[in-house]
Amino acid sequence: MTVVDSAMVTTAVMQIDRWLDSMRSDWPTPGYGGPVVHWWNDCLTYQGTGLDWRYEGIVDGYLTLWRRTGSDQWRDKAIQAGKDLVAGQLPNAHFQNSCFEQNPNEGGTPHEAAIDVALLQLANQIAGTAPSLHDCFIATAKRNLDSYWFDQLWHEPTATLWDSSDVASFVPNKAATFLEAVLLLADATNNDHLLDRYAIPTGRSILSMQVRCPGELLDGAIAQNRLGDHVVAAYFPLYVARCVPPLLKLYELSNDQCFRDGALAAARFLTRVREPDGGFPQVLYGRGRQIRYPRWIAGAGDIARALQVANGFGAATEIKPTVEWILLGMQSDGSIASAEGFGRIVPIISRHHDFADKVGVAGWCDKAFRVLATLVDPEMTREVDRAPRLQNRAERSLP
Amino acid sequence: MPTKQLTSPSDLKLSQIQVREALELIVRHHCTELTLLHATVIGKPQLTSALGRYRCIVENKAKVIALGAEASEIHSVVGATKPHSLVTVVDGRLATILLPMRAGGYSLGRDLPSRVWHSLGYDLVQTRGVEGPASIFWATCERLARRFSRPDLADRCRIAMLQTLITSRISGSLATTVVREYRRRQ
Repeated sequence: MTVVDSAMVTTAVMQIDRWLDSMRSDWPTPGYGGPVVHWWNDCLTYQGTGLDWRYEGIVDGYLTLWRRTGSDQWRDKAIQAGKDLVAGQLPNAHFQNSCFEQNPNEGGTPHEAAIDVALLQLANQIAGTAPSLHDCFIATAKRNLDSYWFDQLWHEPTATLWDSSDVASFVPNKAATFLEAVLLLADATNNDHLLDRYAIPTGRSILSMQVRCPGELLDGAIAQNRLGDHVVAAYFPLYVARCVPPLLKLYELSNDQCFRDGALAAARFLTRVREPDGGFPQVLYGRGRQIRYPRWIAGAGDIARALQVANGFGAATEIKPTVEWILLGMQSDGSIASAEGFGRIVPIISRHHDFADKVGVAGWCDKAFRVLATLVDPEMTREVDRAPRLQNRAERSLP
Repeated sequence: MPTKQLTSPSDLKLSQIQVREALELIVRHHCTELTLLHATVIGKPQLTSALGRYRCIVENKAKVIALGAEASEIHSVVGATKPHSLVTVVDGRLATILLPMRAGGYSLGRDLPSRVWHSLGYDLVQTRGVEGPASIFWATCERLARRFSRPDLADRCRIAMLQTLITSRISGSLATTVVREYRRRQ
């Protein structure tokens, strides 16, 4: 394996941290705000706080920096993020503005499960040092999981997580985020029953959507969606990647080899479709068709993370090309560019949309942040010059 | 399928993409601050509360935003406060054709006739439509592409549909939902 330039990685991580500080907002609740650009739609008009999957990477990234450097400033930032989530939980257990590209709205999937993952990871890490916060974070996540995911989205007769309480649909990457939250909750509450009731059936449902045709390009890919019995045969590398770490965690806890095999096949698929510059096409379909653009840059952090986790289970994948692809997206404000090619999706029609490439999005940069945080040089985090903090969004909007 | 009225906040989901886009159009054109919207907002409670999610609404009698408001409500607010400008969100000409065909298609009601606006002392200064012929064309192409097992083309068409949701200024009224701005004559 070739070594990643840790000086460059460390600089990038410190810059993202500074940029994340600048994205803090006080409206409508404290948290990380800003615009969203996405494949499905954009959210450019609402730019207040979004409580969605951005917290997964922000919390994980800061916890990683805390573990690696021993500096409490990173733990404090992770805790601050956790407090944002507690403050933003609504009486109905949803989180305010949890729909990412569909904000302002609530009940976002997989976003609320990603929030639960963040809270449970945080609780796990601070158990020894902040017991009251530990209990509060677990209670907040559990309230959401109980009343939304278990009570409304879990379809008991088929033991499947639906994407909506009134439509029989299954989205593997969302289910994978739910799976991760369930595994963390089972650990936090010592409730093995959750493993049998929710985690293992969900892992099996994800694998049922996986292509297994050795020798074919799509071998190991996981379809994006199933509506009733109709499988939507679109294979997004980002979404395939998001299934890998939860499946491997499930393998560790269940010792069922099929989850490891499925995750490693998915990782091999990712390596197979990776382009020479380390980026990935947006989506592949059957018969060799694909839509190449927009190619995620900051969001590719989740793909690099999947490959990195898979390497711990016997895969031997270079993550360096993808890390370098992400680092090429560093921007002067400290963010990582969202993508390359928003303006090239539909000829002529999309040409005015190329601005979206350079939009810094907290819910994409968090993905770069958390994978890069695992690669920083701890000594260098103290040396990197931290220029004066940028004004945060709340300060900028003051008259 | 008959059109129906909004009955609860959860009715306003992304399935009504043209309504969401109309609200965003208002926010983009009438907000100068990241968190505040200075206006008096009247109309359907579900829409007014949805608009309030985009910005904190600060009461300002000089500007009225009427979201699917009844004629009587508009007459009342104009009579009471004589706002400088008034923005309406109403059904466009295509709504009568499209909404009955659409599951969960909500009617926002029709705008007051232009002679009524004139008699109230207001002139139309701008019309923007949401979901006009271009986006309907792309939505149709998306359906056809899915039917003919071309999900790649269907996905491109879906994105083209989203990127053409706002009509040109010229053909503003030929749309499912219309945002109009009226200003009081000096």
